Amino acid sequence: MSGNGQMVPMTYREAVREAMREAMRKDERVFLMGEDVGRYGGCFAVSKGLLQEFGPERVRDTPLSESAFVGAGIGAAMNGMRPIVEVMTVNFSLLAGDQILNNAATILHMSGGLFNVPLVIRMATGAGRQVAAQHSHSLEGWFAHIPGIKVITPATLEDARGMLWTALEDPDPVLIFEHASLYNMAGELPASAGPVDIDRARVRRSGADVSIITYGACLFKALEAAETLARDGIEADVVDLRTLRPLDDETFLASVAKTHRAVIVDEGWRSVGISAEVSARIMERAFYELDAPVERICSVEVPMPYARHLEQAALPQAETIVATVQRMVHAHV
Amino acid sequence: MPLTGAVRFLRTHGTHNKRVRSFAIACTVHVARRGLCALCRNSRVPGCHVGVQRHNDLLPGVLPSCVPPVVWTDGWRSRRRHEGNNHAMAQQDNRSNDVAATAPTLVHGAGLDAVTLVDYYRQMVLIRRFEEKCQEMYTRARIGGFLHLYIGEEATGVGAIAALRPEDHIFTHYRDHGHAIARGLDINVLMAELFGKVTGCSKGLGGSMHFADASKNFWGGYAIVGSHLLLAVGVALAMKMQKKDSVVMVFFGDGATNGGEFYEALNFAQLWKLPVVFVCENNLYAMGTPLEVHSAVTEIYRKACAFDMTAERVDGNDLLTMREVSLRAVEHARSGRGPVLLEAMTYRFRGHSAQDTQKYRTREDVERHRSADPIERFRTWLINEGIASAQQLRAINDAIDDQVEASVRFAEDSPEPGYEWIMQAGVYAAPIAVDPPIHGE
Ligand SMILES: Cc1ncc(C[n+]2csc(CCOP(=O)(O)OP(=O)(O)O)c2C)c(N)n1
Ligand SMILES: [Mg+2]
Repeated sequence: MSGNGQMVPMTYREAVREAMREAMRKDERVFLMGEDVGRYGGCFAVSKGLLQEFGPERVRDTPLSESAFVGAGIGAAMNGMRPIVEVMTVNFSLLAGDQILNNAATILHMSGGLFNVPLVIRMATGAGRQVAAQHSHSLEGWFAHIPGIKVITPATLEDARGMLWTALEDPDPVLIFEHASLYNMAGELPASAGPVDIDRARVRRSGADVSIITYGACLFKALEAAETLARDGIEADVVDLRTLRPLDDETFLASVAKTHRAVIVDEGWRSVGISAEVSARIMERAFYELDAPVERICSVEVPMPYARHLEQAALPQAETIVATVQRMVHAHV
Repeated sequence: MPLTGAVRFLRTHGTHNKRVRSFAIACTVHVARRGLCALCRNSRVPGCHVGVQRHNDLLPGVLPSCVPPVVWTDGWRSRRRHEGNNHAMAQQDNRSNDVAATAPTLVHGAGLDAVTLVDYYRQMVLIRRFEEKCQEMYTRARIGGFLHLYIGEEATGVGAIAALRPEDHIFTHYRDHGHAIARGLDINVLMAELFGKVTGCSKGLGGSMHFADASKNFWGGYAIVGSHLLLAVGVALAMKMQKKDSVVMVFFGDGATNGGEFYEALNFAQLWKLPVVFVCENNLYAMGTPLEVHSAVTEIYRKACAFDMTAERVDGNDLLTMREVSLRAVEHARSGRGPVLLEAMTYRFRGHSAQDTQKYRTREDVERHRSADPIERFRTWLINEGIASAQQLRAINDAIDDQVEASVRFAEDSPEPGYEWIMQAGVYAAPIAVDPPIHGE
């Protein structure tokens, strides 16, 4: 086990690929299926090389039929396999919405516990690449509405590398949302990096003045904002939710109890979104800790515009977070 | 497997027709050697290319003969009666292979004058040059997002849309530049759209995948594969209920025929006899997945069989054949006899989108298909038939180059929409009283 502590340079994309490779090596029940995962190497090049390594039995190019291959994944999972189903992007998962909501999420309970669905569905999510209204959704909050599935949103390399295996070991369906803008993110991981939990939030930066609660790609906007704020003498506690269902209330409530101010940053739309849920839980369980009303920074409530500067304006940005926090803090000093 | 396929084929179609037999075997050999048939990449049905006589002819561009057209119902040319009939097959052989030999009859039959023919050429070149410019502007980061080029497929769109009247309707997918131009949208507003300007056809909000123009009944490009087929069905339903005799034409790819929407749309349209012409642009790939890897039946037109729907496979790279077959389909739909499925065989010369590295096919594959460029094919024909001179056509190309340059200038000079445009553009037709504020304000 020499070199375990050694750091290996890696992108987010490679981290996900490594996680899949390890899973397929470790467990012969694991296989990958989805559109263009084989020959093409995945629409975000995540599965590049896996077809060559594992062959077409275990890296399966499917027809362009989301409902069919997600449904088939559910069936295969019910019958002893451990499929990783890749849906290219969350936008297309809507065509498999029935399979996810009416089958994957219900079968265990509906059958009185007779059948479970140990399925993992991976999909890219998010905007920022000028692909307009039908290709830019952030619907992880929607899926988090559904009891019976788990929703995880790895933002860091460590989580991209480590959450997949834990999800595969989970006896229930787990949806993994990978923000498309993170795939090229480069960093380092210990050679020994392995599975991590999929049920706790993490504090990514400590501070006593405000809690910035976020997940996915917005984590990095929050961290950037926190650095800017620090120059202004405001120290932010940045909480990465990591898992949207089940939500780890304890971690963000503890943060709010420390800072007494909360800003939630979510690329989803604001109305009826995951930010509303987090905010509600703070009201329910930490109301008397608050020194200021909870604020939310979300995407503008429009279908995503194509033009670059309009798209950027529609998305949460570090500058908006900074301005919001400054307003909150200074209003109540 | 290829050999048993050939045996099956010969059994079905008889073995005493020498030409059919020799082709079936040639094709089988080819399939065995390459794993794929070069023509339709169908490794499952060797001998499907009845009418291609020599092995050499396994070149792109001879697709009209790929499969004898089949009409499953009471359509214009029932092949059902001829199935297994060698005589009919042989006739098919003679008729189909040579474009130059068949096209003049079509032309005269359809009463097309030189001006019209040359305009088809102009449309195809305009699409080609416009898109080459798009690629350049994309590389220079003037255009963002996805860019799916239609280059290589021009004859399909131009031929099909030539069969429509102005009051007819069009839906298409994200690979929509060609259809928009063939429908007569001004390339200035198209380029402006790609530049994200308010002067764009979708006011800078849609980009490459969402060109639209209501005044031309061009209902736009849609980017969720397959789902727009049902919109087309709905527009046709309205047409029928309003007792109008216009037709809806909807374009989509081979990959789209694997999604449930495709089957639901076909069943619905046929059940209610709606005036829809479904045009499948079979370019042999769904992104990087070859036809025979993504579809159990590689002759897409046969998928209509389950609905007893009229269907035909056509050489989508042959402009005049494409037009003629589309005219027939459009008239069928217009006359109240229900929808039609056309499978246009074509090929995209560029990657699926600008990001595609095309690892799934070889440069030689693409070059082979390029040698049967639909534009070059039509240009040669125009010259050989004495319809236009090389010089005239060159002048058209030059004029188009100027037009394309001008579209870039127009796009560049157009004002950038201000941030307020995001909300002003409207999310509801009747603005709601209390819009949620932007961000956390
Ligand atoms: C429902 C859905 N799934 C996946 C995609 C991603 N995607 C876009 S185009 C495409 C391939 C479509 O192939 P085809 O229908 O043959 O059309 P072509 O691009 O070849 O013209 C895929 C998989 C999508 N846009 N929509
Ligand atoms: Mg295709």
